[in-house]
Amino acid sequence: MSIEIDKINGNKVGFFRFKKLNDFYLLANEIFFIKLSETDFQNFLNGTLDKEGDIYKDLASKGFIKDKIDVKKLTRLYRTKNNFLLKKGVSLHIIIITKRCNHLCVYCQAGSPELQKDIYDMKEDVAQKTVDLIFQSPNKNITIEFQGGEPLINFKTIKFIIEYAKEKNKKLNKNLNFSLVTNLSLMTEEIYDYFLESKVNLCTSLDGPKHVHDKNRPFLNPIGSYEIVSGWIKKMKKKEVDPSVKKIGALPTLTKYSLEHIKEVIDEYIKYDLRVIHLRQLSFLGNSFGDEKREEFGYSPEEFIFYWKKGMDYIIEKNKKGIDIRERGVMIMLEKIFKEQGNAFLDLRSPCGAGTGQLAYFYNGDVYSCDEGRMTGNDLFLLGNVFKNNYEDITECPKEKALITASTLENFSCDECVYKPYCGICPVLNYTLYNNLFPNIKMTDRCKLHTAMLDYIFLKIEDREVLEIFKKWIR
Amino acid sequence: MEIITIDTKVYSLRAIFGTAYVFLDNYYIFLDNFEDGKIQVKIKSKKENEDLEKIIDEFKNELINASLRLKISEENKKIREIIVTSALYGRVEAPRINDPKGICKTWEESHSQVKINDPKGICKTWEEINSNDNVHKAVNNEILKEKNSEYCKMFKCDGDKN
Ligand code: SF4
Ligand code: SF4
Repeated sequence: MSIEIDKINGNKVGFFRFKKLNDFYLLANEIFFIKLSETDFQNFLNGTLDKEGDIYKDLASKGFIKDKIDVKKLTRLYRTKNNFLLKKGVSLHIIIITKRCNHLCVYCQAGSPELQKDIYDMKEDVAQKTVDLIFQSPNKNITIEFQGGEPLINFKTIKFIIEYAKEKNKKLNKNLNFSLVTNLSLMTEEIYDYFLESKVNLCTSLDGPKHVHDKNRPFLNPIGSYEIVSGWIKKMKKKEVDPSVKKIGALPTLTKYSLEHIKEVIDEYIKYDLRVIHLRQLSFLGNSFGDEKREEFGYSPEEFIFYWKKGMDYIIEKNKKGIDIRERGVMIMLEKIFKEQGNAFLDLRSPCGAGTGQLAYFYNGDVYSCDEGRMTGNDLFLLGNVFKNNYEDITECPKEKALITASTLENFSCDECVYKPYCGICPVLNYTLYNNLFPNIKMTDRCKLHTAMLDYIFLKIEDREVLEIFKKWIR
Repeated sequence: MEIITIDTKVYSLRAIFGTAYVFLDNYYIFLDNFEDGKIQVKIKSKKENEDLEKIIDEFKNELINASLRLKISEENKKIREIIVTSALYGRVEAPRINDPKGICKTWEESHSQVKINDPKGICKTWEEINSNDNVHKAVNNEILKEKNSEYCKMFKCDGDKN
């Protein structure tokens, strides 16, 4: 089809971004999307669509026909979809309670300093200052997430923080939640009961079946950690708990070896009734990820996309057979595509959540824009310290403003991309991988990955059965 | 290396740059002034022995896409501004907490002690303004001062009076 620019009817054609996908054009404005055949697309551009036809009505109701735009409705919907822009204050506070770890995972981003040295643990005075700072956030919802290293190495400070935060919250009355990411190796019945009682949501790492998990996640000694983690998952799944607490969630980290066994990794999640799996690309952050490791365990974006699609096809196949297993990355995108209220997932929004939606508190009191920023250890993402700065200093410092600018999609060629409403860019990755806060975004791995994922989704929903499955995922 | 000559009376420089940008990942691109009103695009593959014929066709198609994007974006600039500004209109900044010692004080606590002097209603929330149906008029006054703006023509309103 040849588009004749000078024939475009400027009074009829409202704002949209577009892309040709197979035999249709995908059009999207900030709120809605629509698919048009080539002929309908041309007629729409020329202003020659049948006004009584369904396509015209659909385009009009979704704000694509300029003289039919309901500004009030679109304004309301824009506001609802981008509600995170109106919320004040950081809600996700990640505390790196220790830098130590008893594992030696092949892709480790955190770095595992010597196990004996408790100088790498967060001390009580730092913990107290951290909680004080967290409660300065004006956000009504506060989630404190414990990360490491392996957080349970420093359980006593975790307990101190939970108790201190609860105490403080008696007066401040926020929606206070806790979560903890652990390899489960140091879990005991007693600790688990305490977490249940304190309503701490637990998340662990499960990389797949034994041969995959143990290859990726050996102990320091080095023995694989599969038996321990799977044993605990089984135990936790059986336990009767308050329905407001998640029994246990899990995340896989995907190495080259995992990708080659992607179906088995998914099967493992089905086996333990984990329901949601997040097939994420390795981020290559952290000081321990040199070229050699990248070569051994990493992969190109194209390789990842190939296996990701294979995994997704498998997940869809399982769903068609009535097995409920969902992919989290797709779920987030689906919410953005279909739900009126959108999804404020911190990594897929404009600007991203660095310093506006999340902060990361290092064991020594340093405050970073986000957990990934902390992993790089780069000064650019270091916004302050709990002993020296207050919430205002940290969230209003020039570095934070730079991060906001560097993650606002409208500042990049993303503003012309049909996937802009569902996407996000990451200054930490851009700076770490390309040495540039403002790279040519189309050349970045993340853009390639997001494009591939969104292409996949928009092509797959051509199949009504898949569309229904996807809608069920986000109901 | 292949060369395409583009007439800048047909395609704007912005569209040409935008198109070139898309190809930077796999090709070396150089833009040069050819003769009055014409631009030469020199394309060289980063791979050896690649047949560039298909790429030239893709470049031309992308040039049309880029022109279409620009046209749609320019012609709808005002209305997009209206929607975004209206949606975010009425956003009230929290009073700044001056708490150098890091002693906990929430926004709510500080806010309850601050009396906002706001005779013009600038600090009203979007809901408050919108409930009176005034949001679009307010935005209109603020950002559409020109009488004959696209938006005013479209909605048959007068930017000054409305
Ligand atoms: S990162 Fe890539 S896919 Fe995402 S909006 Fe930007 S250009 Fe589009
Ligand atoms: S900088 Fe990257 S990792 Fe950090 S919040 Fe933003 S998108 Fe997420």
